[in-house]
Amino acid sequence: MIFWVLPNSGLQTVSHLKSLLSEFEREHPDIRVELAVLTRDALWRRLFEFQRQPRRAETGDIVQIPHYWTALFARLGIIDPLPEFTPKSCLDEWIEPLRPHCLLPGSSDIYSVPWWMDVTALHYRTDHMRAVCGNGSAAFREWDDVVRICRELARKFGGGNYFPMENSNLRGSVNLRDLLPSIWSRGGDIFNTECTRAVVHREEALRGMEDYLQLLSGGHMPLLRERGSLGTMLEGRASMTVSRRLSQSLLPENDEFEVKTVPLPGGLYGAHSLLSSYNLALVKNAKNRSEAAELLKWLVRPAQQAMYCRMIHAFQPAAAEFEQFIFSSHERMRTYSEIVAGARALPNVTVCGTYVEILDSALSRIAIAVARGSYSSGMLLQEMVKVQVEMDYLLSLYGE
Amino acid sequence: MTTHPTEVLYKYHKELNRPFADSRQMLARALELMAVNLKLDQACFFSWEPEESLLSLRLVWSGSDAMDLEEDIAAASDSPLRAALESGVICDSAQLDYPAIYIPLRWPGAGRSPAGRQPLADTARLGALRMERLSKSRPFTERERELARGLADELEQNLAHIELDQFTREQLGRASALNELTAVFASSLRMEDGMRLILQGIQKYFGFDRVRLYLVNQAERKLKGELSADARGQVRSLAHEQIPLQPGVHRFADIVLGSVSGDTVADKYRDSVVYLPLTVQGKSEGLLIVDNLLSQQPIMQEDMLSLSSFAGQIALAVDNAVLFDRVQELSQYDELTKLPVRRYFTERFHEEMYRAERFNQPLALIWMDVDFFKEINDSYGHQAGDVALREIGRVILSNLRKIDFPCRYGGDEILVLLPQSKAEEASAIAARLSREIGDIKIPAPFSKTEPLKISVSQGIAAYPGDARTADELLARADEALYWSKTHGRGRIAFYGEVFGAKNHKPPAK
Repeated sequence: MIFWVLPNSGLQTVSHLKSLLSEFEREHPDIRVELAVLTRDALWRRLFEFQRQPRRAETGDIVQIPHYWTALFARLGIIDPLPEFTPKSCLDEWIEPLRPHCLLPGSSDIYSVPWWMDVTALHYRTDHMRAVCGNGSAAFREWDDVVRICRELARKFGGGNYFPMENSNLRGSVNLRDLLPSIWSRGGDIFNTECTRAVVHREEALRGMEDYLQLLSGGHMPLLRERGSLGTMLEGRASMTVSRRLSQSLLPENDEFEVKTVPLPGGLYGAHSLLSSYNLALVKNAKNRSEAAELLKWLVRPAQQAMYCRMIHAFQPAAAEFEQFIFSSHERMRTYSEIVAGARALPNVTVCGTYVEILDSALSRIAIAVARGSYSSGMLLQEMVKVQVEMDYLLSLYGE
Repeated sequence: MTTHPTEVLYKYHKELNRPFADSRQMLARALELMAVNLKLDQACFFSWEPEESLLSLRLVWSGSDAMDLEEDIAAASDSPLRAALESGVICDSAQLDYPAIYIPLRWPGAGRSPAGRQPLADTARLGALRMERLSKSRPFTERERELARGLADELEQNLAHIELDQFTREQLGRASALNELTAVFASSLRMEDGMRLILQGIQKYFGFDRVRLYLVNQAERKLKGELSADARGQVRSLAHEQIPLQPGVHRFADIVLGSVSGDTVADKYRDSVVYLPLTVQGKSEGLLIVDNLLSQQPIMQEDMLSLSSFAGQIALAVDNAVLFDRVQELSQYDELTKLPVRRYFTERFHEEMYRAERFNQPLALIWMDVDFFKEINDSYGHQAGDVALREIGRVILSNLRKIDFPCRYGGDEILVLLPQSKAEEASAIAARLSREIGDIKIPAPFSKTEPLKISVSQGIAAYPGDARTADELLARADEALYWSKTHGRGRIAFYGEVFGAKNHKPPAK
């Protein structure tokens, strides 16, 4: 059985999964799981290839997908419904915002189930912050506050390979998922309320993007550099990061410093964070369907989910476990209740995956321009107008 | 390094020349062997896009596994990395603080390129390897760099071979798909089935997100939407899309009219949309549009060329289907009155009779005859008779419901089948027809007298009251018509009234 996964924990993805799956293989000695780690782009391409040439293209039996791909791949018949899960029996188990993302819109058939999730927050080293803010506790009301603190941190710690803000983007670039919280906090969005039009070119969305992009254009965050050279908080070559994972991943083993987690800066429209879940689905006509279904059911058991989420510093999507996490400490409850209150997810509509692809391509061109020093607000507007035109056309064809 | 470099290279060469399923599998093996032979902690393969100055990570070998990971590196025009990539020499990483070297790669492209771009057949593919040792105390020696270059050279050759093999396999697949498509096109005779088969065939063999077909209607000067097939092969009607065939009105019309300059593909969508005008002997038949907008995957130039070379055949198949429908129409409809012919009527009559019996519904039949038709022909010529019949056909077609079925039964005799109608309803329709036919004015040739006026006699019979079978119903309507003709013409006679024992009333005049 082939399991297609995203690089959930970078270079450690395979070792983490092997460790997790060793127990499954002990329980099911007759089932052998072969792992293939694919990037989001490669996975997207391969799923479409599989649809085009179902007999020729090699495919996974079980596949990990971002939640907002469910509608598209269910509609295209690339993933199968999961009769093992029924809305009545399990939908209530997961936190509320993730529930629609398991279904084909307009039906009650479950096509994917949440495996783990992440929520954006801002984390910073209290020792570094103390050097610029006195008591080490920083409050970021707006993105301009972040930029101001970055400047102060650069003055204090700058030089060498130090960047005030660590770039948590896996590619070392920038994508839509990085920008969404700042777009939302300016009152912007990528879809209108009914998801019938693209509104990414509107002023509020552009201003939100610029809020985040100024970290890159101002040189406060590394961009398009060699991965090993990216400054990390752990090494002391960064002081803050906007990350979707838990702060544990940023902590040193010897308690040398503390990391504090706070909501992302808000604005007139409040602080928002991006809630994403990574779901598991079965590929249509999977060669080893029953084995794949067995693995899927096993992976989403609370105990296994907890084990894997601990390994990769992610959150459990089960409502009970997530609540337990939030209420495990007073500090955490205060921080995360605020973060979760402002958390939003991408909608589960057919064109959402395509929209993210198109926007990420545009943002990749913008990142190159920033790195070259040729970026301007005009370029951002031009790129987003192109995206909006293309998306409106796609929505007219594939809108719900 | 204990083994001699030549021996390492020979073993590496042998290993990479084993069969692999695809280039990723071969690359994974190559990176693994590099890591083993050069004692690397990580070996990475990047693609290099000089236009964007971007190195993009494709595959990493780390520890004991190959993984697709993401990493983009901007190689600015003044950077040592850029200079190394352009000159093909090995360079050390300037950003990493542990030993890491970049080895530029260059191998011949196998010909694949997106549809909207220049062919890459003669241009090289570019990439780079990054070899990493995480310990600062193990820098790369000159000898190791030489070996690394040797391993990279061998990899370049293997990449070229495997990509060429893959390209050849794809070309063979395409050739066999085209063969099968030829058979599909050749068998597509009926218009509706034909279009469906053509679109599904293209979807099956090329696998685009969507294929759309528009046909030119020269009479109406319009480009009319026909069908659209999606990625699942599901076909939908595009009948709601009608585009005036005038320059500047719509991009599709411009493409069909040939008034789009240069490339027919909009720049914005140049990689993911292809427009194929369909022409037969220089005449525009329609437009085929394929797109990959949903998947955002580029349409490969080879696919576009294969499809283009087939555009003529597709156009011919479409033309054949249109002609076939026209022939069908001619064989089913009377050229003069535009009414269905007797053979077609007989088929439908039996179907309707079956339906009436099965669902216990009424069915009425009007048999109509033009009064003094022979005299019209003899006195005013056959042209006047033809005009009379054509006008009667027009009146009948414009006065019936969709479910009614008229026919030119022969000569000047016309039948009208009225499903779900009783004799009373048939009577109202017959009266309306009689009135409207009476209003027809036919110019009398070679005469300055008043226009010629015509009338019809009609006989009506109804199921189940007058008859139980199709033949009986015909016979009863004929008998009623005969009664009408023998009782003064221009009349409507109901079989049930004129021949029925009960409720006998004088027929309507």
